[in-house]
Amino acid sequence: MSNKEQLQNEELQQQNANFEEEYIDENVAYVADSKFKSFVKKFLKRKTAVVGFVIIVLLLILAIIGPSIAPYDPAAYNYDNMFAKPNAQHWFGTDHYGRDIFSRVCAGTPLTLGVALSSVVVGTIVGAVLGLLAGYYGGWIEMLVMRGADVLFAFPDILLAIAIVAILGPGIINVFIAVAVFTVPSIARMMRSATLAVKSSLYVEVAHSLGCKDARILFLHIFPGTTQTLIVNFTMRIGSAIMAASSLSFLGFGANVTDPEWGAMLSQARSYFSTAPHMLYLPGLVIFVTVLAFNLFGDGLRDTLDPKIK
Amino acid sequence: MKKLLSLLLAGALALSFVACGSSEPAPAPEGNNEPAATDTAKSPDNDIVVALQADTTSMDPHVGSNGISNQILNEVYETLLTFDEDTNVVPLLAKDWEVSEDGRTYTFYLNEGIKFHDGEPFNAESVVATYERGLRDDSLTLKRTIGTTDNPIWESVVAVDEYTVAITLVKPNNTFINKICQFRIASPKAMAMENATDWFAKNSAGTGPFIYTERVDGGYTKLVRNPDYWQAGPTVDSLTFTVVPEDTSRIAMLKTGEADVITPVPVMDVGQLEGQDGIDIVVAPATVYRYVTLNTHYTLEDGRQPFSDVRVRQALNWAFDSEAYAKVVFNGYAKAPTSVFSDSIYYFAEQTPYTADLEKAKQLMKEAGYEDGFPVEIVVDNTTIEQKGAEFVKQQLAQINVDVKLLPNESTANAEITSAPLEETTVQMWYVNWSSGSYEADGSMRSILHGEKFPPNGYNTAFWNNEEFNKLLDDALLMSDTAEIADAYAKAQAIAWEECPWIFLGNDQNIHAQRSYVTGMQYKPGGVMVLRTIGLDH
Amino acid sequence: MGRYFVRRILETIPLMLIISIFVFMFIHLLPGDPAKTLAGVEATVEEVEAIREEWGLNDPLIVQYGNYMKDLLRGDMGRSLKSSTPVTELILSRFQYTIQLVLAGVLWAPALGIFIGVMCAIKRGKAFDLGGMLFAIAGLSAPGFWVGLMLIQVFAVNLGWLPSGGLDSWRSLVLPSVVMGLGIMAVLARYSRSSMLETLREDYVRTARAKGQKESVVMFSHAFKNSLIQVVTILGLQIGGLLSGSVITETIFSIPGMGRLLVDSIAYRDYPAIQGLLMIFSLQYVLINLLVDLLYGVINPKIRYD
Repeated sequence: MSNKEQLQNEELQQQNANFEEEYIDENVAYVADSKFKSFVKKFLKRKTAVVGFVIIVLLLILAIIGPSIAPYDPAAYNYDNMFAKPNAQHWFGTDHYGRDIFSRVCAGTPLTLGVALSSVVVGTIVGAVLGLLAGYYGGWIEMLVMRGADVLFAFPDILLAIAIVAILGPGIINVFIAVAVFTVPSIARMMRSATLAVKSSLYVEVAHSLGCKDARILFLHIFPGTTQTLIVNFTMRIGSAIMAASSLSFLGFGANVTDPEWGAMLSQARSYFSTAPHMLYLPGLVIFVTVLAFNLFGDGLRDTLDPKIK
Repeated sequence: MKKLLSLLLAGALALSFVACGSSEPAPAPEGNNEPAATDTAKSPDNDIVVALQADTTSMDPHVGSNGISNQILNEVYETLLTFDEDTNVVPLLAKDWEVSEDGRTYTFYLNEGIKFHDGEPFNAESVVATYERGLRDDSLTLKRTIGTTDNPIWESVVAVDEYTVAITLVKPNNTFINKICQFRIASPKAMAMENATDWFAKNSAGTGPFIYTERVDGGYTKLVRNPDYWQAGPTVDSLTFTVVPEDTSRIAMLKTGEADVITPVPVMDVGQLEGQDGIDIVVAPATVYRYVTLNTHYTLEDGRQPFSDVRVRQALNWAFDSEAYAKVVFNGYAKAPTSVFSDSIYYFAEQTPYTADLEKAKQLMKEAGYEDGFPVEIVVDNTTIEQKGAEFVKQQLAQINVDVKLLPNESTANAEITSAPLEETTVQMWYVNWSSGSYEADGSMRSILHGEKFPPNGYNTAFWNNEEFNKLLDDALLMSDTAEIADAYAKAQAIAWEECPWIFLGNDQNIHAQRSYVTGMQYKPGGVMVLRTIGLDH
Repeated sequence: MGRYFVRRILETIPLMLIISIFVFMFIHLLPGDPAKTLAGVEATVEEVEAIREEWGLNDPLIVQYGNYMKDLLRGDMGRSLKSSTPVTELILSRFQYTIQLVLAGVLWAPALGIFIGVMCAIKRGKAFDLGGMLFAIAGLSAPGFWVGLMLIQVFAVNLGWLPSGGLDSWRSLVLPSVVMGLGIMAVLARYSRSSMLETLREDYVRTARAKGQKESVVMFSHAFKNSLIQVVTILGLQIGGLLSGSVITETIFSIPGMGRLLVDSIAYRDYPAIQGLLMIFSLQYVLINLLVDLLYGVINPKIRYD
């Protein structure tokens, strides 16, 4: 084990000690309840995190109702009204096809957030399972998972993205796969360390000696001990997934020009930087606010969940 | 000598290409848009910087194969003949030439007293040596001119005397005179080296106005003025081609004066450069021809083959508004098509355009039994401008219920997809473009329309095979009478236009921009810059 | 400790081997023909075939891989299909530009990031904390190409203070360094803040306080020094990402670095160049990890290497 991991483990064991104090208790449900309350109380004190949370909720609402509140058809061309500046009819102006940018932003919300969320969810699940198994069983599974993670870490993401586009053909699915795959190694690594720490804890040993099955121990005893680390990492990754999608579009491997995905909109808009800067400012601002919200929320969450920072 | 004089005159005239000012006033600059360069009318130095989109692939005059390689290599290496800005063939290293009765032997009379950059003399032997290099190595671009071992175009090259060389063809070929303009002559001493390509990568051995000195792969290629150039040459000290892949950055560099010339200027950015102090925009006629191939063997789920029916193919053309395409996709910097290749190419014959007529299109679709349309996929490169064009096609064809789905992909992957033979192909439509670097009618049609050029032998992804058309092309190739050639090519164009294996889209123009203090620039159709007499105003 | 490092270096050999096989299969899976791309659309069928033959692209994959590994063991990474220069030479010429770029970013970003993070931790809950963190997180929330284009527009075109890129002088590096450093700055600010907050609660810090040491001494000689460990880890990982992840900065600012070489090589299916670059990227990843471990020892001599 490298020192880095060792350090992380020490730290996690520390966390775990706190965790055990609170969990090795008959009244688990009661403690969990009061713990949640205190969590909410603590979280509400972090104003930036609350702002982030509110923005996220608003975005999620927009993702659901967005397509129906869009004032125009987001795909409707109007070649007589290209590059219109923001005005009363078109709040964000129109783009190089004369499409209403505000409508595209609305219609693109479920797409952009959907891709970011689902890719991070899938990547996190795969990574978490691999990390759990690696940490719990050790041996060749651990070797395989950790070396696999190393290979992926050393592998430039752009190459993977290009390969996916070239092999599977085009579309927004590429963004999803590329982001998901690159979420796996870091989550796997983190989960392995977290698992190692929880594994050596008292209650897991007790469970072991009571003859619990591996699967039961893994998911009922070990997994809950690692959730807070997981949640924080998960939230932080969503922001970077949105950014990654826009970078892929910049390099020509993102969503189609027809898709109102924000990153693709921004990347196409750069060709009109000087002639129609509103195309760059407004979607850029939307991305900025969204990523900011997820980051602020994630930061607040970490601060709240980390027992060491009080 | 008279030809030389006319050449110089042509050079001066080329300046008239420079479109000074624009018809409509430029939009008011936002904020302080003035470039910070001190005096916009004068150049601060005597070094010229040309910002290009991509890098050359090789500095070997017989390896580099993309447009950018040609651009750079042509300033270092010269050919016997060359094209002027109207695509006429004019003398360069050869001062004159004549053709034999049977059209097989071309005799070139060379200019005397010219030296290669390595000090070797240029003479008839160097032409022979270049030919021999082509014979030795199949992977060189020289093969396109002299033919392959199995299928030679040239029979022999003989040095008649020191400054006379005779090239004999296997059979007459009307494209020879165009192809010789791509046959770059290099120093025999350099070509004789064991690893000539490696040597060319670092050294200069041409007769051109500039000497290649250094380059950083992916960064820049630097040339300096050839002080011993044999005719009127450039006045700048050096010429540097820098690679600036991002469009927006290229424009910024011209504005700040970091670059003196930029190419290409994206059509959408022309507006912001127009009317800017100290910047000129140059619009060169294009040779790039854009079209969508219609796979005539494309089969629907119910077994019908819509594109095998000429009425359907025509209906698509009637439904497509090429005027709007030029306006929307190319910001007006494109021409609606009037034949199957650009009017800058020799032997172009104008056809009656398919002006947008939706009623006619619907009528034809109805007659053919496709009133309700059909679904189809279109292969397209994943760059913004290509996708935008394909998107426009989609939107136009939706009017006659043809439901187009875009398949944007990396161009290298598309090249593979589109080289599959008929039995394996997945291509239904392909949004693509073609241009003949040697401005020939044969080169503008053969690889993409001839029945023998189905992939992988060519790019005829319409899989259109018209015997009459094939024969016209084959016969024309052997002719030497220009009137006969023109007649054959006119007939061929008429057939392809009527049969329309493609949707004819149009041809966009090449747009360059330069600081006003740049002098002596010439542009050939297709946007090739001639920098031989380039200078900077101080 | 010496033995530990030897072992770590030996461990990288199988990793590199796996990566090489992986990459080899991967790039040959990609649709696209290097010979055809290289020859251009106007090339004859024979010309393409000759290029294939010359570069051994017609051999079975396993033979191609064998040849590649044979050369690699002799320290020869082959020649680039596109430019026919040796890959080693090609990468070396590109390496200097990327490393310049990375150094330019690393010059200011970690220092500023750590400063913001530490100050935020000290002034926790105050306006400085809020502003500092907002600033840092904002740096993480805008796409790099967007920031780059904005910087060019403002500082190169409108104000004319700096060049819009290129290789001319140190001034060309200023704007790219901002784009390169922004992410590191933000990440480090966040990590150093939380790691500082953690160490501030440790016993030895409390003890030092209780002993009546000056607050500034407590902060910097005890708390700050110990929070550095986490910060170094993060910094190492970030720099590793920079080397291969500079494509966008290099494209916007026209810098012929390794990121752009990779993108160009993929476009041309330049197998030897892609392969060589991937080997270099994995090597640098391994080395940076090693360096990070080494730095732990320097920062905290109590750490054992076993």
